[in-house]
Amino acid sequence: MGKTRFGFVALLIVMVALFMVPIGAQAKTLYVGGTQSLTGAFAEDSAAVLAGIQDYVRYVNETKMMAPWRKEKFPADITLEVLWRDDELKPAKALSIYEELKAKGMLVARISGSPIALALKDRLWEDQMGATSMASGSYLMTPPQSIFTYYPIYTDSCAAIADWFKASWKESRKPRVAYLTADNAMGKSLEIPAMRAYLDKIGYEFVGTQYVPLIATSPPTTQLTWLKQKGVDLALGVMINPGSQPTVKEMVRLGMGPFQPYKMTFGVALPGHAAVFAEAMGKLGDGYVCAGSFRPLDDLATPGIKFCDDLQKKYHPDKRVTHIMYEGGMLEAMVQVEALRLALEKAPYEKLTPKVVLEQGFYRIKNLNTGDISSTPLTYGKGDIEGVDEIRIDQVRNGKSVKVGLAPVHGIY
Amino acid sequence: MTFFIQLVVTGFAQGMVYALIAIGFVIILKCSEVFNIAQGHFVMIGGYLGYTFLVPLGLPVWASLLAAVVVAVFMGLVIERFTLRPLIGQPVLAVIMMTIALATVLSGLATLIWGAEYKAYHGLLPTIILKVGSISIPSESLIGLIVSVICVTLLMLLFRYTKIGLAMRATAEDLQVVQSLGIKATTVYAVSWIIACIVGVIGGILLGGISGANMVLADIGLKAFAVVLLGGVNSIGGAIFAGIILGMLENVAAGYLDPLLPGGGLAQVFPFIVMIIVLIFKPHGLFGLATIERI
Amino acid sequence: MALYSGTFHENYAQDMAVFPTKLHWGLLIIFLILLFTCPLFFSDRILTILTMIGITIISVHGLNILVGYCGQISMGHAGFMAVGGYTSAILYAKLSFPFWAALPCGALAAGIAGLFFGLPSLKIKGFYLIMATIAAHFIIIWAIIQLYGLTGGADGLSVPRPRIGAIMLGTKTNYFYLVMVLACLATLIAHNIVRTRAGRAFIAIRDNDLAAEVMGISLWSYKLQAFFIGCVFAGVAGALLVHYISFASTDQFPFMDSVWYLGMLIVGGMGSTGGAIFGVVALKLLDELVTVIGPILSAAVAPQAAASVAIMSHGLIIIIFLIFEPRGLYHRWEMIKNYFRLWPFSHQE
Repeated sequence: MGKTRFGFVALLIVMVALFMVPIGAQAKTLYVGGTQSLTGAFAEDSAAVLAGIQDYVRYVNETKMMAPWRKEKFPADITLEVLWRDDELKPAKALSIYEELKAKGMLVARISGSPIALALKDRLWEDQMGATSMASGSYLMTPPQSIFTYYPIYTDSCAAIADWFKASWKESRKPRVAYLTADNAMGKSLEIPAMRAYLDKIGYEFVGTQYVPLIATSPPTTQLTWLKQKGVDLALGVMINPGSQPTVKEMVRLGMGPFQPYKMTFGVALPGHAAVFAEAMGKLGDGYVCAGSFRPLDDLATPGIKFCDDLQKKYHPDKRVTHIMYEGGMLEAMVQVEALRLALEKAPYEKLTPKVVLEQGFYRIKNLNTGDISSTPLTYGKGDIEGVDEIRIDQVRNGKSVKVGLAPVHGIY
Repeated sequence: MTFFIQLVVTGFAQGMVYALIAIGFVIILKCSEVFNIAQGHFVMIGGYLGYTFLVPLGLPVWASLLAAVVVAVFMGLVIERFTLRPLIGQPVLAVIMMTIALATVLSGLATLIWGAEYKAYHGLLPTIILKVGSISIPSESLIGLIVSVICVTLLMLLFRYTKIGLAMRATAEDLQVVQSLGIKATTVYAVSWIIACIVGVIGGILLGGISGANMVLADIGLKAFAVVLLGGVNSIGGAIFAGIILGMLENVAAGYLDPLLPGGGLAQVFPFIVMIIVLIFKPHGLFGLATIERI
Repeated sequence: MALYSGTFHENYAQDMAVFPTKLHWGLLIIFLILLFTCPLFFSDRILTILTMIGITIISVHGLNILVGYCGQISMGHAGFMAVGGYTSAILYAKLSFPFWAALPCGALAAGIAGLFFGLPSLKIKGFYLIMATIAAHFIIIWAIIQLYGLTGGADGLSVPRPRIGAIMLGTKTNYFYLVMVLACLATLIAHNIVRTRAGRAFIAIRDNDLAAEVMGISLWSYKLQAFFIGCVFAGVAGALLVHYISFASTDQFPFMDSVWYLGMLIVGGMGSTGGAIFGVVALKLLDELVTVIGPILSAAVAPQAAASVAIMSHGLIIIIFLIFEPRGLYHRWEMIKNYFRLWPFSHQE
């Protein structure tokens, strides 16, 4: 027994020691990245985002360019390093990770999901720390603080779909709209009075709400039958693909959809990724609408997508990331690096603080050309945390994601 | 009325899937008195196995099922031998924590192998579409029904006509008697775990065909517990009956009550409400045997 | 427990003392001094971790009384923390109660919720009780989301930083002191509750409830007392957690937390105050370790390795402890202490 006893003690000591070891900072290094949720519902998205951030940072370090289509250069004497930790989508864990990364001298932060955003936003504002965010609920606007999005907030996305649908509405009666949304903080962020007011204003009749689990484990027949019974013409929601794919499959089975006997259009905000959806569902998914979506990764005519493709070919040709949020990672890295670069124009490396990066960096990002990865070039400022001003609307047609419209951002929160 | 019937039919479909998962749970419980929290994770693994065999390997459906069953047998053997056998005779909390730990290890392994990704294989499994008037019967209800009936029949035959089946029934009755008669209880345990794994994995492939393979598929296990409690923990027939009842109640409640509630989501919490009610008023379920304790 | 060579107890009071010798008192004082001077030499990050450990210790003490001493297994502990957290948050943020009043109200609310969901324990035990408490967790979380107007539903509730009079508790250092004072107090209370009449009744119920009842111990009263006490601890911890993050959301109280609290008891050693502390510290440090080595693993093995290890780490540790040391770390610690107490005259192994 003696051996086991000391084995345990040794194990404890090693654990404590390993966790105390500080990671030494090199001279003139700036960190990008931040907390990730590699476990939980957004695991897949997070992993792709992380890959995007790592590739972009490697590109900047090697070439000192910001992007192939841009002339600005990143200061040659400063190396970028990706620093990240897995928060498992737990707010308490994200908090201690944030403290750790801040103590390491990180000047920008990152938000990996709605629970993390809700827990960290006041703290980030107190520390005047700018952050990019994969979550984009209306809570980011009340009031707008220091978390910046690179795709529209969910309510704006859904409003854009409502605009687009209304434009092609021909019948004399008011179109009936319902929420068919994910049963979590992200999905429910749609249910705010301002959203209802907007739908009323542009001439919809609001019917009610039905919830689908974030990741459906059974087809939402009940919810869809309810929509059919109430005669809904447009269903709006915030869902990720594991929720929307079974939902649309069931819609088709029940004969619901824009190209089905019962005419109903189903539209979701960005994390529903039309490109991913179309690839998994094929023609089965025809009629599915997604607002604020990224372009598919094989759309090489777009400079930004070409850039993504080149980086993937260059850095990991055998392990291609096929998830669309790779583009999200590229955007996040672009924004973070641009903020650092702009701040470095105004202040020397030694004088950089989170506040300087926020005020001289994030706030000064105007018309950042992302090579058309985002719907429009990104513009931020004090109180302006939504980077895009227009929202692209895609629809799945013949098993392919097709752009069907562009609608302005209304700022509904 | 059509709406109501549609809800009931949908509930039936879901109920069959619950029942299938609950059966695996009951088998282990009957034979070894282990409450296997990881049953839902067998389902999750099943979903991913279905994906692996059907999509990247491109096997036909029957071969995929067969391959998945082989993996399930192996999984059952390993799990029983290395995690549960050392705990024979330990208190109930230790055993439950072991199955929970097992569940997380399975999740971790699935993450390592399949990268926690959402893997869909829509349209690869055979579907049967039935429409009666304006009510459509979900194909998965029929397939779930067929698979459940096959599973239950096979299990009945196993229990009735084979030696190991007899040993399993005897072990469920009285462990000490069985051991003193020279029947190897460990073999019985191993077989029960293998059966549970097979049932779980097959359920997973079915579910994966409906909603795609995902880590969250495991959560359906939690709902199956409500089914098991309602039906009585040691009754296979009870599990099927309770599965259908619960599936229907859940859907009717969601259809009529959800739109009235501000936050919705009643379908998600409904099994737990049933669970509490059953536990307070009829702890041994509808078909379970009440046990009498002596000091 | 073995006594030091040459130490003898001469009366009952000495035998029952929590700190029997001057050496113990000395060590306690040194420990407390070290604990309360932590903010002087540790970074914000370590303070955050220590604060979270302190909060979890309070919660796990409650669970230990309920599970470790009274044998009523609860897998809904995070749900009861949520009751405490939300009550305190609503009272403080919406009804502008002072902080010192909101916190105990939260604890009381959690205790009452515990009483309610403890009712099934009068009829059922073991697995059935586990299921009932799991159901309790999900029903509580669902109710919180339903009470949109009060709790903010799924959006959560923003809570201003706590202050008592003019003292701002929001700063990391001050909050660390608050949590540590309460954690020490909780440890003291938890350790002493089980030495009272009620505590002895709990142990009798754990060991054999039927026998206990026959001996004249009221199961009805003591089981519910155990639930109440356990959940009051949970309520305090939940309130502290919510005020620390200064935000209340249901995501802070995931179901798996309830499971890991039980896991902490298994790793530390069930049914001892020290075991609860050991378990919390061990699993929380493991958590941090996993977070830190995650990126390294990811770069070295495969991108998904970090997530995989994060998911598995707790489960693996619990499997190892269940098979090789079901009595937990604290038991090991006692054995080591006993070894040195008798050293060099040890004649036992």
